[in-house]
Amino acid sequence: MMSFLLEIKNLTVSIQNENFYISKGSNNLSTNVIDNLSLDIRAGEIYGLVGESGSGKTLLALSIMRLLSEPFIKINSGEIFLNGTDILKLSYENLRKIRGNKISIIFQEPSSSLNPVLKIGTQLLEAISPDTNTNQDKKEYAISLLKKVGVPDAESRMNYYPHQLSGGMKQRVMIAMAIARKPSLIIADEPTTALDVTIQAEILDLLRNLHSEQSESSILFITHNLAIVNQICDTVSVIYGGEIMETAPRDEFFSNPLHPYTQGLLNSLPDINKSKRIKLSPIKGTVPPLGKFPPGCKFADRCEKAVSICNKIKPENKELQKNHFVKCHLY
Amino acid sequence: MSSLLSKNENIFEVRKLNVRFPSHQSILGFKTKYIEVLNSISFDVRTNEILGFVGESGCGKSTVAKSLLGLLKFENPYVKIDGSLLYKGIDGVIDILNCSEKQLECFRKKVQIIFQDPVTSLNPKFTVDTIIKEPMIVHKISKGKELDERFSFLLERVGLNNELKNKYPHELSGGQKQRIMLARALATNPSVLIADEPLSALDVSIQAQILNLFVQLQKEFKLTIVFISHDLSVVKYLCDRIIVMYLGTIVEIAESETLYNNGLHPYTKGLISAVPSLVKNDLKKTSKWLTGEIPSIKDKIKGCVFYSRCPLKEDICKNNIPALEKKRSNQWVACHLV
Repeated sequence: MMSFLLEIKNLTVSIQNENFYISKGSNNLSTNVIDNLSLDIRAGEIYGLVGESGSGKTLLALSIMRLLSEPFIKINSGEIFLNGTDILKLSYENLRKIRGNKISIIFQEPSSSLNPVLKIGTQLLEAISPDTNTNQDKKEYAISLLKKVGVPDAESRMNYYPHQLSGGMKQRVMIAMAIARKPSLIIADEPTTALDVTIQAEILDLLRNLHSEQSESSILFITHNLAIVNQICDTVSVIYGGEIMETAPRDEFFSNPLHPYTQGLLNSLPDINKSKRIKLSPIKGTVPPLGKFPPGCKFADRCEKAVSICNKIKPENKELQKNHFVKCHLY
Repeated sequence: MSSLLSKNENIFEVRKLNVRFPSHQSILGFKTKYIEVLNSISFDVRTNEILGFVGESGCGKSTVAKSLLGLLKFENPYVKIDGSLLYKGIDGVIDILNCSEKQLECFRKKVQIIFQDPVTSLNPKFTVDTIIKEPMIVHKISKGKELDERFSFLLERVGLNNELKNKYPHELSGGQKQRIMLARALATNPSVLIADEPLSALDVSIQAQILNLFVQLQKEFKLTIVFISHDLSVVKYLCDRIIVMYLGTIVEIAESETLYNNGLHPYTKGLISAVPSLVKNDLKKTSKWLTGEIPSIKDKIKGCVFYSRCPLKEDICKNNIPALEKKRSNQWVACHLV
């Protein structure tokens, strides 16, 4: 039997309409941002979640961490199992035991996720388990963490404030905090978007090395960049309008993309290894605003291959090949 | 449109351009310290080419754009610029660093810019109509009925509908805003378009639409485009020639295919090795080419700027600045060891 570390079943997250007190008698006071989403992450894999802005990637990450700003954004229904326990049913106390211990998160912008008035050593010590013996032990562990993530001169860097470090170094500190308690799931929400391409390559390399050292843990890697997914992930999912459109193992995903949206994304990217000026074929139109998605398949109005049924009926999630799931009427 | 210039003649000639920004100014202006942002850079922009600038953040890409536009001294009156910066248009040569108001006005008409963030570069209180017509009125390009016709023409060329006429920027999507920026830039019928990271605020699917639009408009309006980006895949796709910058200096100039297949400077190789690809998943350790962190531009570096990160460094690199030399046809490299 396949063991899943994280299982998300039929998760629906909704956001209150900003003008819900002035809406003219309509009952639609909220819009679903994540719509009936299911996703399984195996123990030990790097799972890539790709989507454009507004597709619900970050909200999914925040839902798993239970960090949504309720009651304006709230989980309506669904279950999130981590090793068999439903995170959504946990009390606040139990949730605290999971955050950092079992799941940790690396945010996109390292400069705004570190506290500017505390030394990074202090922040790192805060993230280390309170039950690890003495202060001296903790400090040594913190220094070893910094060394592990490739911060040079780790002892003295403990006394630095975040503004004294470069973006790449700050992100390394964030990663050190995330791995401090050896969580079984690390959520990396666009961890390299704010960084230069050279630093990005180093951070990806670091994540990969850390992952191979701790082969039981999984990484949920959220990004808008398909090329990065190709470098680091084992399984890839594409999310659009809060629904997963296609899931496949990495090689299968890039060699045999089936969903028109995936194909569109792949065709609209210039690549460093493709020769110059092969005409790009972008997806037509733009992502509709929240609540304006077609009632059937969410991609129907932008899809080149859409037929009449697409606009009306939601497609089922079908397993077309082993582990390759597609949500599309064409198949 | 008849261009008097033959192909490949230079439209911009930049020679030994130095830009220094003041830092730590004392109250009376004594003891001002300067940071070298651009360090004696020389390059040409050829007519009708798409020239790309790449490099990590802080290497001076945007400063190059602003100096080409002659905007630096307006942004900071204490900035020190020396060297020469010539614009060679159809109607004569303009020395951008010392020119009269009148010449500058003529120059502004011919050289337009597109900024990175369309949200902050469109006036939120203007409608699309005013935004696009304003440059045409200011530069007395057309008026009356002709103005309306040209407005509709421009909107159509950038792939927008006339219905957007009375919308305000906040009512438009990111892609639409970037198209409006393009239409506004094209309004004065420019010969040069300087695009400073025009795609980085856009989503993947929209980015491709705008990229195609660039290719199409470049042909149609016979534009010379200076394209600044940190995304090397995009630059490779779009540009004819590419200039690689590092810490305020140019380390390599080459045609785009040559640069990607036979880049000579170790920094170019490192930069290219770091770009993730859709086709291959062999992103290797860039540490083969790049080690350590970028030094601060405040540090005075005596020799090659890349010395601290270079895997091939030798003694000569420490104290001698390498000159930008022609190594192959159309390929200039600043490295002692190539």
